[in-house]
Amino acid sequence: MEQEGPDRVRISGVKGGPPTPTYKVSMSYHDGWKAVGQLTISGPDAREKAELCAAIVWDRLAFDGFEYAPDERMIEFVGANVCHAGIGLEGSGEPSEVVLRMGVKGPDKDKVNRFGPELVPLVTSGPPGVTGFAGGRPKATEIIGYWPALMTKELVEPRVTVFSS
Amino acid sequence: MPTALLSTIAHARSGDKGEGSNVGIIARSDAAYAYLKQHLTAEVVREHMRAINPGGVKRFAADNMRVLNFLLEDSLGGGGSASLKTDAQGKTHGLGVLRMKLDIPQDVLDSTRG
Repeated sequence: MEQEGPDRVRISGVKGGPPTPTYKVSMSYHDGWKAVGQLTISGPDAREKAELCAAIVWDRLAFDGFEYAPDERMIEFVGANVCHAGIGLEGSGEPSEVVLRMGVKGPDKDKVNRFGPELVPLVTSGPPGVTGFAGGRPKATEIIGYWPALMTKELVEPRVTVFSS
Repeated sequence: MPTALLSTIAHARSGDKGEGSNVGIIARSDAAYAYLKQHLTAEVVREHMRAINPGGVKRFAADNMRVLNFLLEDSLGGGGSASLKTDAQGKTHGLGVLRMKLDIPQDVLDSTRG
């Protein structure tokens, strides 16, 4: 690579091969269904209680006849050694991961949406070892306010409609 | 010979490739690269990462960049969108390999201190 002038370089001696007979493609296809949920469980005995909670879920499902094969189910204890489980961290006292949870709110939808695109780039251009971004960029979801109150019954006229086919 | 973490003489970056993950181990010096090329074999990485990757491991060397790339062939629980794992893309596998303890000669350790 040689400097030819300001903001200008000459590249020489570059080697290449003939084009291949194939294109690189990314194909998508229907591949079943999945559902993932999470709970945060506090100490004391957080890990033990989390294991008990997971066992309760599987037991209740089995009681109703729903069994899931080992490769069709998953349990993780995020914060208690998920990412490097089984490769020599046990008992070190150091958590192998920390879950960063951030959010914004407000009356301006555009301002709330502006937050989402700033989080995911840390996966590829932040420090190594950032993951867990499944679900994509967080998008603004409408807040439905909840207002428990008392209302004078005179203001409400009960009316029952029975639908029949 | 002192025992030290792989992270003292190399850094790493990793990510998904289908149902497996690529782990690039980047040596911090020429001496570190020569040592790793001899001792950090596919078999050593396979054994260390067995709890995460039940599949095989292939190694590719890029001498001009002092990089050893390891392909962990079955490390993602189905991979990408099909995986239920928190780390469905293997982004943490590089740091997982760096946690390996090795017997590293003193002169190799010294070569990485700039």
